Amino acid sequence: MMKQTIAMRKAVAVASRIVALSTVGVLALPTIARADQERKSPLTNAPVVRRRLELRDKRVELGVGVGATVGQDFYNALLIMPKLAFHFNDWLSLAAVGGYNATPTSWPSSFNNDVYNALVLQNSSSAADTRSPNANDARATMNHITYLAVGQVEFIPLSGKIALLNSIFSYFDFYILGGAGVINLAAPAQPQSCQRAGEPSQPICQAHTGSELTFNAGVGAHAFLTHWAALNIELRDLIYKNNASGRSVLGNLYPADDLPVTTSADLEWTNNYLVSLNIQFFFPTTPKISR
Amino acid sequence: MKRLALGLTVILASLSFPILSLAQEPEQPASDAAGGDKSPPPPTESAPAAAPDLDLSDLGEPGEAQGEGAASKKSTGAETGAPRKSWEDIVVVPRKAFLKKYRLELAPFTGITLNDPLIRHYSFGGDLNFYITDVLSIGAEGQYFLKELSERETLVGAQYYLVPTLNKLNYQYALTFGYVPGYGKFGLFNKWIVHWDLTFQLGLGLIETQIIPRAYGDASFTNKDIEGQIGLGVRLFVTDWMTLSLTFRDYMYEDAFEWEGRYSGETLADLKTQSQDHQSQFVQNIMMFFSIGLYIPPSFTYRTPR
Repeated sequence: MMKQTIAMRKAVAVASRIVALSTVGVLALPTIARADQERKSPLTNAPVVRRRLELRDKRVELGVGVGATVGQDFYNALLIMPKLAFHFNDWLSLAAVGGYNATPTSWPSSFNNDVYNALVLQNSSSAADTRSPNANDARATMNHITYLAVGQVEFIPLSGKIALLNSIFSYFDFYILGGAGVINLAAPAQPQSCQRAGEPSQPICQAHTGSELTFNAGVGAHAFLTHWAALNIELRDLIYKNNASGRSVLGNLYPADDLPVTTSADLEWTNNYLVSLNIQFFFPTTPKISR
Repeated sequence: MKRLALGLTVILASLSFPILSLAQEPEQPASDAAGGDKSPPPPTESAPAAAPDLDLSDLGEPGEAQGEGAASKKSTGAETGAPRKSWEDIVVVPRKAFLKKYRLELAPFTGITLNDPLIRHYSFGGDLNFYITDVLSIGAEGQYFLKELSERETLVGAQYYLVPTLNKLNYQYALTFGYVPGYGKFGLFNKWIVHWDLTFQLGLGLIETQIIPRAYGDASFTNKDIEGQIGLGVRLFVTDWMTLSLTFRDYMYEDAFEWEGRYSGETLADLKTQSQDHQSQFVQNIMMFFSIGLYIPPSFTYRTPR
């Protein structure tokens, strides 16, 4: 009986210690966790740049510049390009960009000139391949950009400062852009030699003109000259359906004369690179400063 | 059992006290001179001296007008000498992240030609640069090209019944001089700082080209042309020993194309002479390169104190 009582007391004592220790452990947990939190560096969650000029946040951007196509097959374009944008915050904006071609046919590519000169030579040769088009007719169906109007969303993950020649300092940002719009194409003429007698719907050649839906993707950068003015460079790819030569791409032949047929089926998606440089003004003219 | 209950009560009380205190901390205004800080309380008159080295509290919230409220807030904090443990109290001016002086850069690259609608070249090669200073370098580059004819090249024959006269590129090497005109850093989502610089390059070297005969099966010859080049690029510093670069270079040279008057039975030497005499043309090849720069030695030591 005595032994049983002693054993029971011991068991109760052990159980009490376990309960006490468990209680201490449970209660101490938040304290320990809090201590861990206290040991965290005060730089935790700090932005890497403080007192940063938020040069875009809630500001309207308006300006104009020039753009030039890169690597066009037949006609390069020098465009007058206005741009209007609104920045929802420092890293996201919505922009509208226009472009009007100031050099519709006055800036032919070197490839255009090579083809033209070769065809002139070919046309004048006694051993001419009669299937070669007339040089002027060939050039007449080559199209060019007339104007464009695109919308774009700009995502600006990178912004910072640069020192040029250790003496000129500028704020800048890099962004990617994407959107869509309309591009208008035109050509000098629809030559008579392109028409197939009695089959106007099956022309031998046909300049592709009119408006096309275009997708717009690219990258850009601002280099701020002041807090309210910036140089804005953009490189974009305009992706639209085109047949720049106005001649058969698929190589389909008309059965009656074995000459090519050019239709809308010859249109294909093309990449058209455009680089632009604008001067942009920001409103309001005073930017916010971050903490 | 009584002792156990008493013990538990004491433990509970002692443990809950700091928890309650901690929970109350944010509510406590910084008016308590002791402030929970171990440092002695500052004298009342010289309270501002106890403030951090650079007080940024007067900036206010972003975009906040510096009104009366802000002034009063500032005044309260300054007078009390309230301790603050926040990133706002610490000034960090990062040093230049990467030093290049007396280091060797080995940069394998790949590139593509941009400005010829008929033929495209892919390039594989490398740069070897030694930095005399942090912004000046001398070096060498070499690359090998692979050609690809474009769809437009195929269509020239189908649409105009013409065969284009083209040369392909074989290889190129040059001695180069590099300069870094600009150095910058940007915040990536305002969380990470990335350092970068602008690179400018001039070079002089040799490029080998080869004619693509207009008539299939005809023999071809090669040209070894002296070329000059100019380049501009950006370089991101990734680690102490690695960089990523995007570079545009313009290679300029006089090249001889297949003579248009080539006739059957003409020797290759004659053809080359005729081509050089009648079919030479100044060529500009604009190329874009992506490269990874590896630096030797892989680490560097700052020579100035922080």
